[in-house]
This record gives sequence, C-alpha cells and structure tokens, in this order.
Amino acid sequence: MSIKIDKGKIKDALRILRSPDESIPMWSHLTSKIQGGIFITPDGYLAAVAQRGWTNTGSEATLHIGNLEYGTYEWKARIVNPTANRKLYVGLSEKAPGCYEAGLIFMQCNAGTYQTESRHEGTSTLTNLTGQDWTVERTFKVAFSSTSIQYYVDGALVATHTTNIPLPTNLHIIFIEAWQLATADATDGEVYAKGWRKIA
Amino acid sequence: MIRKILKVKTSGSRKTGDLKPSLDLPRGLNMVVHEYNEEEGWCIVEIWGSDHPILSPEERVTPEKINHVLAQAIEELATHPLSPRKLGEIYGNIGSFEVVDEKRKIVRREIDGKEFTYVRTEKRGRPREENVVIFDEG
Repeated sequence: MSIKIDKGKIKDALRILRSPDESIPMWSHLTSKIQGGIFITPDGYLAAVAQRGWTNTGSEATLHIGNLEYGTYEWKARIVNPTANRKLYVGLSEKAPGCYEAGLIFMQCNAGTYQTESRHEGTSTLTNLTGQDWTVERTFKVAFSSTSIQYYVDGALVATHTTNIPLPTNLHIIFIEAWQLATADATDGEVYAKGWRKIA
Repeated sequence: MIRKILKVKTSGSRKTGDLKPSLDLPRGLNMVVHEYNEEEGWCIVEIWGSDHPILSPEERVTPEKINHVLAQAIEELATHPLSPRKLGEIYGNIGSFEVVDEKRKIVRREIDGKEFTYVRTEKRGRPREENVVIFDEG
C-alpha cells in the first residue's frame, strides 16, 4: 500500500494567502521569552506583552510564512502603553526570532518614537514619523518592491525607503514584539495585530 | 547627507487607501510625510539621502536625482521649521597629499601618513576661490 502526497497542494496551503477575502490560518510558530507573554485573543488578535515591573525582557510572537514575495501586505494593529522605556514592533522579519540582521520591514514605537525601519544585510534605513498615535487600532500597509518600500497608516503614505531594501527571500515571518528596555514601567506594554494578508 | 523639505501635490485618498505624495522618488532618496492637507491636495514631505561611497552606486544621491524631485515639487520650503539651516562653513588647510592608489582614489597626508579616500571635488562659486576636495577619513 502506498500513500500519494501532493506536495504542490501542501506547499500552496502553507503559503501566505493572496486573496483579500480569505482569512489567515492560526497555525503559527510562537516563541516567548520569560516575563512577557504571547497569546491569541478570543477575537483573533495575536498579542505580545512586556510585563510591568521588569526590565530587559519581553515577548515576541511570530507567524511563519516561508519566503516572502514582493507585493503589498496589510494588517491591523494597535499598541498599549507606549513609553520611553519599551519597544513595540509589528512587521516582517527574517526567520530566527531575535536575529534581525539579514532583513526586516518594521513599523515600531521605539522608546516612545514612532518609526519605520528597512534593513538589509545588517544596515538600516530608519525614519522617525510625526503625528502618529497607534494606541487606537490602525490599518498598516507595506508596498514592497525591489526598489522601494512604501509604508502606509490608515490609507495614507507615511514614509518611503529606497535604501536598504531587504530581499524577499530573507523575510520569513510576520512578527510582533513587546520589549522592555533598561527601565521598568508600572503598566504592561502590549501589541495586538490581526488580519495579515497579501492584497496585491 | 542631503535633506530637503518640500511641498508636494497628493494623489489618491485615505478613503481608497492610497493617499500619497505625487512624487517619483529615485533610488537613494528616502521620504517621510509630515503633514497632509487632503482637502487642498498637498502635503509636506522631507526627503533625504547621501552620496557616501559606503552606499551601493544605485543608492547614492546625485544632483540629477535631486533635480528630478525638485522639478515635481510645488515648492521647496527652505524656511520651514524642519528645514536644515546653513549656519556657516568651516574649512582650512589640512596639509599636502600624495596619491598612493589612483584606482581606489586613496591619498596620504605627508605630515603624518594618514590615508583618506577621495570622495569628490566641489567647485566654489566666487572668483579666486579654490576648489574644495572632499575626503572621507573612514
């Protein structure tokens, strides 16, 4: 008796979804460090937490999607308690959690400053944004090509990078992180994200 | 590093999810949008880039790339609070040099042997002013 496996179908099932009306499967690759937490809320948000009272620790949550392709990606996210003492990230990153040298596409609140960051082979283009507030849910969009990355918030372009554009083959995961820096806070720092999809 | 604040027309809308500056941005120039006036169809953007040799050639800013962007802007906002201010220039004679590697454009200062990489020569605008040679000391 033999079992025939259609590798093509399996491969298709594991790739990021392409149609706007499809939902994201919640199979995922989750990692965590101590004194943080990751969870999926009843309404479908992937969440990461940096706990109050602790320093130099936090949590990361990732969805492993395989090699990325050029295209336009969209998701919804909000952050809770952004302070000068913590980093709250959402974006696309390389495979190994905690290692962001090969490439990344991040939208982040870093020590209280809203930023976009594109990194390729260890060097970054970093932009400080003005007039942002992600403590209410925003729709984030990234248009990613070989020559530029365009970052949108709620339907408006906020930054364009044409330097340090990562290779799509270096990006493997959807990534959120809440990380406490050297000073503790009295409240938890949190990141919530859902609805990741490739729209073009 | 080159940095400019520009007023630029917009295209699209927040409603359709594609509000953005109407600007073709060449490779090497990055941009952040500071303000939108969707009703009047303009925005304030900051563009920046560098011609530093550490960047790959296609990512280096050239005068042509800057002119390409300036030609698309409504106006350059040189007095905008975010615009870089030119406070003055400081330069002096830092010694005599000899070429040690013509291909890699490396020169050596005679007085102490320190090596510099030639970056570019800037022509000065006023009569009898000497051109300024820009080195990168790494």
